[in-house]
Amino acid sequence: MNTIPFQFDRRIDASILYSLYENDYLYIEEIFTTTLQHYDADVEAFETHQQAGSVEGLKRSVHKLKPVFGFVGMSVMQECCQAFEEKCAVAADMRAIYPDSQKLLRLFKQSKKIIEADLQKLSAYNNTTPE
Amino acid sequence: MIISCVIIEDLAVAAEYLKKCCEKSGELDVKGHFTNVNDAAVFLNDNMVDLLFLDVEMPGESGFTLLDQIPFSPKVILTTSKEDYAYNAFEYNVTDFLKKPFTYQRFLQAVNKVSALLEPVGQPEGGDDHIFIKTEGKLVRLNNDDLLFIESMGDYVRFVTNDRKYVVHNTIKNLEEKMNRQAFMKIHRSYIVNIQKVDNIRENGLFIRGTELPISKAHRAEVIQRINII
Repeated sequence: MNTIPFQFDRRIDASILYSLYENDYLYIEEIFTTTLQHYDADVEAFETHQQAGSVEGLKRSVHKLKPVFGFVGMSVMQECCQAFEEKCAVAADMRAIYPDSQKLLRLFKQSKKIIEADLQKLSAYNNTTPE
Repeated sequence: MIISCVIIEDLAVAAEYLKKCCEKSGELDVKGHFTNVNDAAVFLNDNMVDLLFLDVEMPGESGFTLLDQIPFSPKVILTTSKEDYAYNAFEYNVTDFLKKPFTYQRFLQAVNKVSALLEPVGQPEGGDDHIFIKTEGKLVRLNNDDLLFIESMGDYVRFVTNDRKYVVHNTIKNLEEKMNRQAFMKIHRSYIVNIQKVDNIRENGLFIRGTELPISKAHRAEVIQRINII
Protein backbone atom coordinates (compact mmCIF):
# COMPACT_ATOMS: atom_id res chain seq x y z
CA MET A 1 0.00 0.00 0.00
CA ASN A 2 1.01 3.62 -0.63
CA THR A 3 2.72 5.46 2.22
CA ILE A 4 2.44 9.03 0.86
CA PRO A 5 -0.54 10.86 2.45
CA PHE A 6 -3.56 11.01 0.17
CA GLN A 7 -4.68 14.51 -0.86
CA PHE A 8 -8.41 14.84 -0.46
CA ASP A 9 -10.48 17.40 -2.33
CA ARG A 10 -10.24 20.79 -0.59
CA ARG A 11 -13.95 20.54 0.29
CA ILE A 12 -13.30 17.40 2.29
CA ASP A 13 -11.74 18.11 5.66
CA ALA A 14 -8.87 15.64 5.96
CA SER A 15 -8.44 16.43 9.66
CA ILE A 16 -11.98 15.17 10.33
CA LEU A 17 -11.26 12.00 8.41
CA TYR A 18 -8.06 11.58 10.38
CA SER A 19 -9.91 12.02 13.68
CA LEU A 20 -12.39 9.33 12.66
CA TYR A 21 -10.29 6.81 10.75
CA GLU A 22 -6.71 7.90 11.33
CA ASN A 23 -4.94 7.27 8.05
CA ASP A 24 -6.64 3.99 7.29
CA TYR A 25 -7.31 4.77 3.65
CA LEU A 26 -8.78 1.35 2.91
CA TYR A 27 -11.32 1.98 5.61
CA ILE A 28 -12.04 5.48 4.26
CA GLU A 29 -12.59 3.89 0.86
CA GLU A 30 -15.14 1.53 2.45
CA ILE A 31 -16.88 4.44 4.15
CA PHE A 32 -17.08 6.46 0.92
CA THR A 33 -18.37 3.40 -0.93
CA THR A 34 -21.10 2.74 1.64
CA THR A 35 -22.03 6.42 1.60
CA LEU A 36 -22.51 6.42 -2.16
CA GLN A 37 -24.49 3.19 -2.11
CA HIS A 38 -27.24 4.90 -0.15
CA TYR A 39 -26.75 8.49 -1.22
CA ASP A 40 -29.08 8.62 -4.22
CA ALA A 41 -31.96 7.08 -2.30
CA ASP A 42 -31.56 9.61 0.50
CA VAL A 43 -31.37 12.56 -1.90
CA GLU A 44 -34.36 11.21 -3.85
CA ALA A 45 -36.35 11.11 -0.61
CA PHE A 46 -35.46 14.78 -0.09
CA GLU A 47 -36.62 15.63 -3.62
CA THR A 48 -39.84 13.67 -3.21
CA HIS A 49 -40.72 15.60 -0.06
CA GLN A 50 -39.84 18.86 -1.79
CA GLN A 51 -42.18 18.05 -4.67
CA ALA A 52 -44.90 16.95 -2.29
CA GLY A 53 -44.55 20.21 -0.34
CA SER A 54 -43.86 18.36 2.91
CA VAL A 55 -41.78 20.54 5.23
CA GLU A 56 -41.77 17.83 7.89
CA GLY A 57 -40.61 15.26 5.32
CA LEU A 58 -37.81 17.58 4.18
CA LYS A 59 -36.73 18.08 7.75
CA ARG A 60 -36.55 14.31 8.30
CA SER A 61 -34.62 13.78 5.05
CA VAL A 62 -32.07 16.45 5.77
CA HIS A 63 -31.70 15.18 9.32
CA LYS A 64 -30.79 11.77 7.93
CA LEU A 65 -28.34 13.19 5.37
CA LYS A 66 -26.60 15.49 7.86
CA PRO A 67 -24.39 12.90 9.60
CA VAL A 68 -23.57 11.28 6.25
CA PHE A 69 -21.55 14.38 5.40
CA GLY A 70 -19.87 14.20 8.78
CA PHE A 71 -18.64 10.68 8.08
CA VAL A 72 -17.02 11.78 4.79
CA GLY A 73 -15.44 14.89 6.27
CA MET A 74 -17.73 17.43 4.59
CA SER A 75 -18.33 19.56 7.62
CA VAL A 76 -19.56 22.57 5.64
CA MET A 77 -22.30 20.44 4.10
CA GLN A 78 -23.14 19.16 7.56
CA GLU A 79 -23.57 22.76 8.70
CA CYS A 80 -25.73 23.58 5.65
CA CYS A 81 -27.97 20.64 6.55
CA GLN A 82 -28.17 21.81 10.15
CA ALA A 83 -29.12 25.34 9.06
CA PHE A 84 -31.79 24.02 6.71
CA GLU A 85 -33.16 21.69 9.39
CA GLU A 86 -33.53 24.69 11.68
CA LYS A 87 -35.34 26.65 8.96
CA CYS A 88 -37.72 23.73 8.44
CA ALA A 89 -38.50 23.72 12.13
CA VAL A 90 -39.87 27.25 11.99
CA ALA A 91 -41.13 27.42 8.38
CA ALA A 92 -44.83 28.15 8.03
CA ASP A 93 -45.03 26.34 4.70
CA MET A 94 -42.98 25.10 1.77
CA ARG A 95 -42.81 28.53 0.13
CA ALA A 96 -40.70 29.79 3.02
CA ILE A 97 -37.98 27.21 2.44
CA TYR A 98 -38.31 26.31 -1.23
CA PRO A 99 -35.37 28.46 -2.48
CA ASP A 100 -33.12 27.03 0.24
CA SER A 101 -34.23 23.50 -0.54
CA GLN A 102 -33.31 24.06 -4.19
CA LYS A 103 -29.87 25.34 -3.21
CA LEU A 104 -29.34 22.41 -0.90
CA LEU A 105 -30.40 19.97 -3.58
CA ARG A 106 -27.78 21.43 -5.91
CA LEU A 107 -25.19 21.10 -3.16
CA PHE A 108 -26.18 17.47 -2.58
CA LYS A 109 -25.58 16.77 -6.25
CA GLN A 110 -22.22 18.58 -6.28
CA SER A 111 -21.19 16.78 -3.11
CA LYS A 112 -21.90 13.43 -4.69
CA LYS A 113 -19.52 14.28 -7.53
CA ILE A 114 -16.83 15.27 -5.03
CA ILE A 115 -17.21 12.05 -3.06
CA GLU A 116 -17.26 9.97 -6.25
CA ALA A 117 -14.14 11.65 -7.62
CA ASP A 118 -12.22 11.22 -4.37
CA LEU A 119 -13.37 7.63 -4.06
CA GLN A 120 -12.04 6.90 -7.51
CA LYS A 121 -8.68 8.52 -6.72
CA LEU A 122 -8.55 6.86 -3.32
CA SER A 123 -9.24 3.48 -4.80
CA ALA A 124 -6.37 3.94 -7.27
CA TYR A 125 -4.15 5.18 -4.43
CA ASN A 126 -4.96 2.15 -2.30
CA ASN A 127 -4.10 -0.16 -5.13
CA THR A 128 -0.75 1.51 -5.76
CA THR A 129 2.26 -0.34 -4.51
CA PRO A 130 5.21 1.93 -3.70
CA GLU A 131 8.44 1.44 -5.61
CA MET B 1 -15.32 -8.59 30.20
CA ILE B 2 -17.07 -8.90 26.83
CA ILE B 3 -20.17 -6.74 26.48
CA SER B 4 -22.88 -8.12 24.23
CA CYS B 5 -24.58 -5.44 22.18
CA VAL B 6 -26.99 -4.68 19.39
CA ILE B 7 -26.84 -1.79 16.93
CA ILE B 8 -30.13 -0.13 16.00
CA GLU B 9 -29.27 2.35 13.28
CA ASP B 10 -30.82 3.07 9.89
CA LEU B 11 -27.89 5.02 8.50
CA ALA B 12 -25.67 2.48 6.76
CA VAL B 13 -22.43 4.42 7.05
CA ALA B 14 -22.98 5.04 10.76
CA ALA B 15 -23.77 1.37 11.40
CA GLU B 16 -20.67 0.28 9.52
CA TYR B 17 -18.52 2.69 11.48
CA LEU B 18 -20.03 1.57 14.76
CA LYS B 19 -19.45 -2.10 13.95
CA LYS B 20 -15.84 -1.34 13.17
CA CYS B 21 -15.43 0.56 16.46
CA CYS B 22 -16.91 -2.40 18.36
CA GLU B 23 -14.59 -4.80 16.59
CA LYS B 24 -11.54 -2.60 17.21
CA SER B 25 -12.27 -2.30 20.93
CA GLY B 26 -12.14 -6.05 21.49
CA GLU B 27 -14.64 -5.51 24.31
CA LEU B 28 -17.90 -5.74 22.40
CA ASP B 29 -19.69 -8.63 20.79
CA VAL B 30 -22.21 -7.33 18.23
CA LYS B 31 -25.17 -9.71 18.25
CA GLY B 32 -27.08 -7.92 15.54
CA HIS B 33 -27.75 -4.80 13.53
CA PHE B 34 -31.29 -3.60 12.89
CA THR B 35 -32.50 -0.65 10.85
CA ASN B 36 -35.84 -0.23 12.58
CA VAL B 37 -37.45 -0.58 15.99
CA ASN B 38 -39.79 -3.44 15.09
CA ASP B 39 -37.07 -5.83 13.92
CA ALA B 40 -34.95 -4.96 16.94
CA ALA B 41 -37.88 -5.57 19.31
CA VAL B 42 -38.51 -9.03 17.83
CA PHE B 43 -34.86 -9.97 18.36
CA LEU B 44 -34.62 -8.47 21.84
CA ASN B 45 -37.72 -10.24 23.05
CA ASP B 46 -35.88 -13.52 22.58
CA ASN B 47 -32.30 -12.45 23.21
CA MET B 48 -30.86 -10.50 26.09
CA VAL B 49 -27.88 -8.19 25.56
CA ASP B 50 -25.92 -5.87 27.84
CA LEU B 51 -25.95 -2.80 25.64
CA LEU B 52 -27.92 -1.11 22.85
CA PHE B 53 -26.42 1.44 20.48
CA LEU B 54 -29.64 3.19 19.67
CA ASP B 55 -30.41 5.77 17.02
CA VAL B 56 -33.34 7.90 18.05
CA GLU B 57 -34.74 9.07 14.75
CA MET B 58 -35.50 6.19 12.46
CA PRO B 59 -38.23 5.40 9.97
CA GLY B 60 -41.37 4.38 11.83
CA GLU B 61 -41.15 4.46 15.58
CA SER B 62 -38.61 6.44 17.60
CA GLY B 63 -35.73 4.58 19.18
CA PHE B 64 -37.12 5.33 22.63
CA THR B 65 -40.26 3.27 21.97
CA LEU B 66 -38.04 0.21 21.67
CA LEU B 67 -37.09 0.59 25.32
CA ASP B 68 -40.75 0.23 26.27
CA GLN B 69 -41.12 -2.92 24.20
CA ILE B 70 -38.37 -5.09 25.60
CA PRO B 71 -38.57 -7.19 28.75
CA PHE B 72 -35.22 -6.21 30.28
CA SER B 73 -33.18 -3.08 30.87
CA PRO B 74 -29.97 -3.03 28.88
CA LYS B 75 -27.55 -0.14 29.06
CA VAL B 76 -28.19 2.35 26.29
CA ILE B 77 -25.84 4.57 24.30
CA LEU B 78 -27.74 6.92 22.03
CA THR B 79 -26.29 7.60 18.61
CA THR B 80 -27.89 10.74 17.34
CA SER B 81 -27.36 13.86 15.27
CA LYS B 82 -29.31 15.97 17.73
CA GLU B 83 -28.57 16.82 21.31
CA ASP B 84 -32.07 17.65 22.44
CA TYR B 85 -33.12 14.32 23.87
CA ALA B 86 -31.94 15.05 27.38
CA TYR B 87 -35.36 14.64 28.98
CA ASN B 88 -35.99 11.24 27.41
CA ALA B 89 -32.41 10.19 27.98
CA PHE B 90 -32.77 10.92 31.67
CA GLU B 91 -36.11 9.11 31.87
CA TYR B 92 -34.75 6.01 30.13
CA ASN B 93 -31.51 5.98 32.09
CA VAL B 94 -29.32 6.38 29.01
CA THR B 95 -25.62 5.96 29.78
CA ASP B 96 -24.21 8.26 27.09
CA PHE B 97 -24.83 10.12 23.82
CA LEU B 98 -22.68 9.79 20.75
CA LYS B 99 -23.24 12.61 18.34
CA LYS B 100 -22.63 11.40 14.79
CA PRO B 101 -19.94 11.33 13.56
CA PHE B 102 -18.00 10.54 16.71
CA THR B 103 -14.35 9.61 17.09
CA TYR B 104 -13.14 6.22 18.24
CA GLN B 105 -11.83 7.82 21.45
CA ARG B 106 -15.25 9.25 22.20
CA PHE B 107 -16.79 5.85 21.47
CA LEU B 108 -14.37 4.22 23.92
CA GLN B 109 -15.28 6.73 26.62
CA ALA B 110 -18.94 5.79 26.27
CA VAL B 111 -18.19 2.07 26.30
CA ASN B 112 -15.99 2.49 29.38
CA LYS B 113 -18.91 4.12 31.19
CA VAL B 114 -21.02 1.09 30.38
CA SER B 115 -18.27 -1.31 31.46
CA ALA B 116 -18.01 0.45 34.80
CA LEU B 117 -21.76 0.10 35.32
CA LEU B 118 -21.79 -3.56 34.37
CA GLU B 119 -18.92 -4.54 36.62
CA PRO B 120 -20.20 -5.37 40.10
CA VAL B 121 -17.66 -3.03 41.70
CA GLY B 122 -18.05 -0.87 44.76
CA GLN B 123 -19.87 -3.50 46.78
CA PRO B 124 -18.19 -5.02 49.79
CA GLU B 125 -17.10 -8.64 49.65
CA GLY B 126 -20.30 -10.60 49.25
CA GLY B 127 -22.24 -7.37 48.55
CA ASP B 128 -24.44 -5.34 50.88
CA ASP B 129 -26.46 -7.56 53.15
CA HIS B 130 -29.35 -5.15 53.62
CA ILE B 131 -31.23 -2.22 52.16
CA PHE B 132 -33.28 0.60 53.63
CA ILE B 133 -36.69 1.42 52.22
CA LYS B 134 -38.72 4.55 52.85
CA THR B 135 -42.19 3.60 54.04
CA GLU B 136 -44.81 5.18 56.29
CA GLY B 137 -42.56 8.17 56.93
CA LYS B 138 -39.55 6.22 58.15
CA LEU B 139 -36.59 4.29 56.82
CA VAL B 140 -37.00 0.57 57.43
CA ARG B 141 -34.10 -1.86 57.24
CA LEU B 142 -34.67 -5.02 55.22
CA ASN B 143 -32.05 -7.73 55.43
CA ASN B 144 -31.41 -9.46 52.13
CA ASP B 145 -32.02 -12.74 53.86
CA ASP B 146 -35.56 -11.71 54.83
CA LEU B 147 -36.54 -10.41 51.43
CA LEU B 148 -38.24 -12.94 49.12
CA PHE B 149 -38.99 -10.89 46.03
CA ILE B 150 -39.94 -7.46 44.71
CA GLU B 151 -42.97 -6.97 42.52
CA SER B 152 -43.76 -4.04 40.22
CA MET B 153 -47.04 -2.17 40.72
CA GLY B 154 -46.75 0.57 38.10
CA ASP B 155 -45.06 3.51 39.78
CA TYR B 156 -44.78 1.50 43.00
CA VAL B 157 -43.10 -1.72 44.01
CA ARG B 158 -44.00 -4.25 46.66
CA PHE B 159 -41.20 -5.70 48.80
CA VAL B 160 -42.31 -9.12 50.01
CA THR B 161 -40.57 -10.60 53.06
CA ASN B 162 -41.30 -13.74 55.07
CA ASP B 163 -43.89 -11.99 57.17
CA ARG B 164 -44.67 -8.57 55.64
CA LYS B 165 -45.27 -6.65 52.47
CA TYR B 166 -44.10 -3.05 51.97
CA VAL B 167 -45.35 -0.85 49.14
CA VAL B 168 -42.84 1.83 48.14
CA HIS B 169 -42.75 4.47 45.42
CA ASN B 170 -40.07 3.11 43.08
CA THR B 171 -39.60 1.08 39.90
CA ILE B 172 -38.12 -2.31 39.12
CA LYS B 173 -35.87 -0.62 36.55
CA ASN B 174 -34.38 1.61 39.21
CA LEU B 175 -34.06 -1.16 41.79
CA GLU B 176 -32.35 -3.45 39.33
CA GLU B 177 -29.39 -1.06 39.41
CA LYS B 178 -29.35 -0.74 43.17
CA MET B 179 -29.95 -4.22 44.56
CA ASN B 180 -27.06 -6.50 45.45
CA ARG B 181 -26.52 -8.43 42.23
CA GLN B 182 -25.11 -11.45 43.97
CA ALA B 183 -28.29 -11.97 45.97
CA PHE B 184 -30.98 -10.67 43.63
CA MET B 185 -31.83 -10.99 39.99
CA LYS B 186 -34.50 -9.75 37.65
CA ILE B 187 -36.55 -12.60 36.20
CA HIS B 188 -39.22 -10.57 34.46
CA ARG B 189 -39.85 -6.89 33.81
CA SER B 190 -42.10 -6.92 36.91
CA TYR B 191 -40.10 -9.11 39.30
CA ILE B 192 -36.76 -9.20 41.08
CA VAL B 193 -36.20 -12.25 43.24
CA ASN B 194 -33.85 -13.31 45.99
CA ILE B 195 -32.05 -16.15 44.25
CA GLN B 196 -31.47 -17.94 47.59
CA LYS B 197 -35.22 -18.15 48.21
CA VAL B 198 -36.21 -19.96 45.03
CA ASP B 199 -37.82 -23.31 45.87
CA ASN B 200 -38.30 -24.66 42.38
CA ILE B 201 -38.22 -23.63 38.76
CA ARG B 202 -40.54 -24.70 36.00
CA GLU B 203 -40.74 -23.93 32.28
CA ASN B 204 -42.00 -20.35 32.54
CA GLY B 205 -41.97 -19.61 36.23
CA LEU B 206 -40.46 -20.20 39.62
CA PHE B 207 -41.85 -20.68 43.13
CA ILE B 208 -40.89 -18.86 46.30
CA ARG B 209 -42.71 -19.92 49.46
CA GLY B 210 -45.66 -21.16 47.43
CA THR B 211 -45.96 -18.07 45.24
CA GLU B 212 -45.48 -18.62 41.52
CA LEU B 213 -43.62 -15.84 39.71
CA PRO B 214 -43.18 -15.63 35.93
CA ILE B 215 -39.80 -15.88 34.22
CA SER B 216 -39.65 -14.06 30.89
CA LYS B 217 -38.05 -15.73 27.90
CA ALA B 218 -35.32 -13.12 27.89
CA HIS B 219 -34.30 -13.92 31.48
CA ARG B 220 -34.69 -17.69 31.49
CA ALA B 221 -31.13 -18.51 30.40
CA GLU B 222 -29.66 -16.19 33.04
CA VAL B 223 -31.84 -17.72 35.77
CA ILE B 224 -30.72 -21.23 34.86
CA GLN B 225 -27.12 -20.03 34.82
CA ARG B 226 -27.42 -18.55 38.31
CA ILE B 227 -28.86 -21.56 40.11
CA ASN B 228 -26.68 -24.40 41.26
CA ILE B 229 -27.71 -27.40 39.16
CA ILE B 230 -25.86 -30.61 40.08
